[in-house]
Amino acid sequence: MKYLFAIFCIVVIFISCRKDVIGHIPTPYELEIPSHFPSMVIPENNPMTKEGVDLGRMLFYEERLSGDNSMSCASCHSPENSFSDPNQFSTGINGIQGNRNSMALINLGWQKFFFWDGRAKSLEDQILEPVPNPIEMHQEWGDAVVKLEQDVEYRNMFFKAFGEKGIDSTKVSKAIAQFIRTMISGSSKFDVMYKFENSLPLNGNDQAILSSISPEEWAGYDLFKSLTGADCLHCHSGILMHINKFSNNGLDATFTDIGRGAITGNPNEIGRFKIPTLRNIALTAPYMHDGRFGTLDEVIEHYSSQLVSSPTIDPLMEHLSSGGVQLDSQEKDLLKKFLFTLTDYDFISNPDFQDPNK
Amino acid sequence: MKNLLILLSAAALLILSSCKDSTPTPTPVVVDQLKISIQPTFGPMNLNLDQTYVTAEGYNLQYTDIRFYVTSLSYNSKELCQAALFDYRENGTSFITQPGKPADFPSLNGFFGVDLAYNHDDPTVWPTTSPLNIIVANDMHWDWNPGYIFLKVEAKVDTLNDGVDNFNHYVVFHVGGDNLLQSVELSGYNWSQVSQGVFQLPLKLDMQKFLQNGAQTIDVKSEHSSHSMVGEEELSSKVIQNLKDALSPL
Repeated sequence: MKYLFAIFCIVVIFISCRKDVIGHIPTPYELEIPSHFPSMVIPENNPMTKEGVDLGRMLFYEERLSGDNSMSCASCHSPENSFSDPNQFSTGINGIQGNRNSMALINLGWQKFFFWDGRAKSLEDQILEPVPNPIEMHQEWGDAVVKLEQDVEYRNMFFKAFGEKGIDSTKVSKAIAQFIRTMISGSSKFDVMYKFENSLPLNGNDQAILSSISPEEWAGYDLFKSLTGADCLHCHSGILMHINKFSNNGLDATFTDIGRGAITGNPNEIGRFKIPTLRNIALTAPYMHDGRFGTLDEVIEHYSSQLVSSPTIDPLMEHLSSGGVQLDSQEKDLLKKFLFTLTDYDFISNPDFQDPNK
Repeated sequence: MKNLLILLSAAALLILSSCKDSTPTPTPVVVDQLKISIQPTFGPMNLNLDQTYVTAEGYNLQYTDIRFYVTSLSYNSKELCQAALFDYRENGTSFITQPGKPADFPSLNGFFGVDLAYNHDDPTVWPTTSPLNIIVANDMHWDWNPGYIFLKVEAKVDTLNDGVDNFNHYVVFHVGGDNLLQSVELSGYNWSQVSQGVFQLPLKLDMQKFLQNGAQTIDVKSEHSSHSMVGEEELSSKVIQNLKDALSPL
């Protein structure tokens, strides 16, 4: 009878206290945000975890996400080009090209919309698009998931990242989004200039960089900010070097690609495209949504003298009537010198962002 | 045996009750909410961005952007809101939603623009929900010095009265700077209850009055651009005063 009582108690305790699911609890990931940057808002449904970031990094370089196992995200967002594509248009697995230049992946954790036309409102949404896109990786998500499920390492990594069995497209996009949120660029010469001009603390390395900044680079920065100079500040301001906005920057009088207008259906937004960051701009040629400019000189010349009017041009193109801001050759040179200070070599060579299989 | 069964039942009951989640359900605390909305108008008409209105001079005008900051909005020493950003394109007529009781705010005083106490602070350190956070402020911030852009009014104008739409004349008013900060007072209004615990104060922003503020008129043909730079003081001052004066209880 004693035994019956003991067994009864054990059964009752087991039934009343057991959890329904025993899963893995992922390790929280602490983002390394530079001291002069704002906080990053992380979506509540996709918290940063070490396992999620590691998985996202693997998936970013995973060629099995494409139909013929030849393309990964990195194919069009290569580290040496600050995670952009040096080609005007990227070529998909079937040899088909799109009509827009691949955007650089820098500090995306602070952005509010994605793609040149802003059609994705979250990183997670953005990541879902290239895999099934026929002119990109051209593979149904179901097929991509089957490939991943055949790999025991991935099965384990997904389990550790999400605390449950199973792989699906949502988990893939969440993991890659976590990885991309870690891709923070804040170690350029410009960062030291920004900190110095705003009396923010400089460490020893910053001090060394500060002493290397030339008068021409400072003069270029002044020109960059001046409303009567190059007037870049209207669209490329603050520590992130961009604003969250769409703009028609005077490239064309008529449009073959109507950009934001195709998403909203608003005729006032025809020809408007997302304003990109200028960080690492020297590494991310070609420029503009259609990669029409191969060099920074061409870009500067556009804003200096080649603006074209159209009904939806941004009112901030205030020098439109004279074709642009009319920089002389010395000013163009100074401006270019400043733009080179935006290059962050630590960012592109950061081992945490490279292919984990190499 | 009967006693044993009773004993087992009592033990099971005790064990089960000891293991269950015993957190009591909290009683929800009802906090009154105060909402301030702003309806832009053009005279008696509700104003829509990108829609054509006719100015006193006969120009066809389309507003494309209306944004401004109000900060340190309070009654006596009780603050309703530290900072609020009106952004008609992004947020419509919605302006301020804060916990509070109508009786605590029979009138409101504050600044049209960004209080000197905050204007030159690091814009990255504000909470991510604050209108002063650089991500929320977005292009409403120039630099640590001169600080925030207090207001943006942008428009496209057809200044030729020839019956052909040609909105190729641009109006860009970006006004800020400590010396242009304006005091603002709202009074003579009543909070109206719109639902349980929610009280609303509807304001209007008359963008016709913005252009025709008594003797202080803005002729957008000749007065169409200000970034509050040296040499633009008179127009900058007129722009911010007129916009402030255009704001009143609905």
